[in-house]
Amino acid sequence: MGIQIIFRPTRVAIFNELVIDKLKACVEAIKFFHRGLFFLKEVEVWFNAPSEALGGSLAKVAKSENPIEAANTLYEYFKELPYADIRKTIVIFRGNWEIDSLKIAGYFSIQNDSEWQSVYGDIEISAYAKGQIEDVVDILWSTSDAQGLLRNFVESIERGIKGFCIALSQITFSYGIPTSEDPSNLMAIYLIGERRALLRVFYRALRDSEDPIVVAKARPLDTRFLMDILAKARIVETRISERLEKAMVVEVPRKSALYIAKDRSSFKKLYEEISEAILKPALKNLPEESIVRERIERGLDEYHEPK
Amino acid sequence: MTRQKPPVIEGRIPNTHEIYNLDDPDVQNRLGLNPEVCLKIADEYDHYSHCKWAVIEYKSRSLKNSVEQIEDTAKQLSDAQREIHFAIIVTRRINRNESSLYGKRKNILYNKITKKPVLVRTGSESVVVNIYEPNEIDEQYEEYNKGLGPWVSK
Repeated sequence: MGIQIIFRPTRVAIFNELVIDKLKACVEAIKFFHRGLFFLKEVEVWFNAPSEALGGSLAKVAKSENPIEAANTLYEYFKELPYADIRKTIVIFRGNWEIDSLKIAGYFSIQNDSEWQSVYGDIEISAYAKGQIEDVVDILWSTSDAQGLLRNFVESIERGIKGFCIALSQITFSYGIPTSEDPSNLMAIYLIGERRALLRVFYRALRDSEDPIVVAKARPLDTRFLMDILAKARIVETRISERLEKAMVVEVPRKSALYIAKDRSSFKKLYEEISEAILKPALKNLPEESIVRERIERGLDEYHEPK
Repeated sequence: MTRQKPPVIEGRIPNTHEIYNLDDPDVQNRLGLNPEVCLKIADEYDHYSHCKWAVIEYKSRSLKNSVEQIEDTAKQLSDAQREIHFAIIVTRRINRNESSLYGKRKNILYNKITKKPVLVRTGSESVVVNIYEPNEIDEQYEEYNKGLGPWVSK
């Protein structure tokens, strides 16, 4: 996978407007890497799935080395397409990632189909594994200033989509597909809502880890309620700062926050540290699901109809 | 990065001198592939001891990318008049997010949306994409080494 971008709506918009804004946002992402690391070759539009083997059909191919020109071609194409068809499309900008003498095929894709969007995000940026390169994050982390590159990338997307009907919600940089239950493949994450959002990512992972004690205590608990308490506790703030340093994760505070791993195990360490020092202690004294259920039932039993 | 072993298929394993590493441009040339258009390529093209050929992808961290790499490689090999009897992805278990799109039944990868096996074209025909976890392959080799395997493969 590599990079996954998820947007949130900024205002009510029709689907076609959303599609065009996602297209423009993707062009902003391509422009950032274009002719430095990524070299565009062509753009494809697929229906239903991004390859024949996966049940898709190729609807359009246009050769282009210029992202703006490619986007204009797509814009004209989408204008003629009925709404029912647009919502089944997956757009793929194909090209090569090049670093030093290494050339690796890769792509920027826009998922307009909801089933593919829910797995691969609104925009996916990826490279096909080859040799020692497992994912696009290997390319980014092999540059001389990966932290600066990521910071500038996020800033350039934020700037580029100002005034659109969408804004950034989350960007993940990971080996493979980011999943809620396992944050250990993360290399960087951009989140709105600062540290509260980071805690939410790790809490969700802990809850989905199927640890029976955690599940029993977390199930009756409202996540927002827990996050409100944790986000306001000064001791949590201090513990996160210490753990970020220990796990070698750099925090770039902005209106939102970008967390960047220094090495491949950083997020695994950070997740373990935050689970042990914050999340598990926060759940420790809570009643388990069975006790909550029993108390609810007891309350119901104790009620007597007024005579 | 250590590459996994190819799976045991129909009781056979590939001959070690006929495991072709497709990352190598010289190998691509020898197989009649054009390295310039072979950037999206699977990891291996293996000749099994019963004269069957398999395209194998080991490294990708995304099933979608693995399928595309297998699909593209199968096309390139078919165009070069090379045979393909098996298409194989070796990966750890399907992750939770991707499991809403893909499933595995008896080592066959299937598409949950179309409810059909994932097929790649090999010229005028198609082959199903098989999927194995590294531990399944280890178990296959244990069985293979215990039993009849070694003598039939030589």
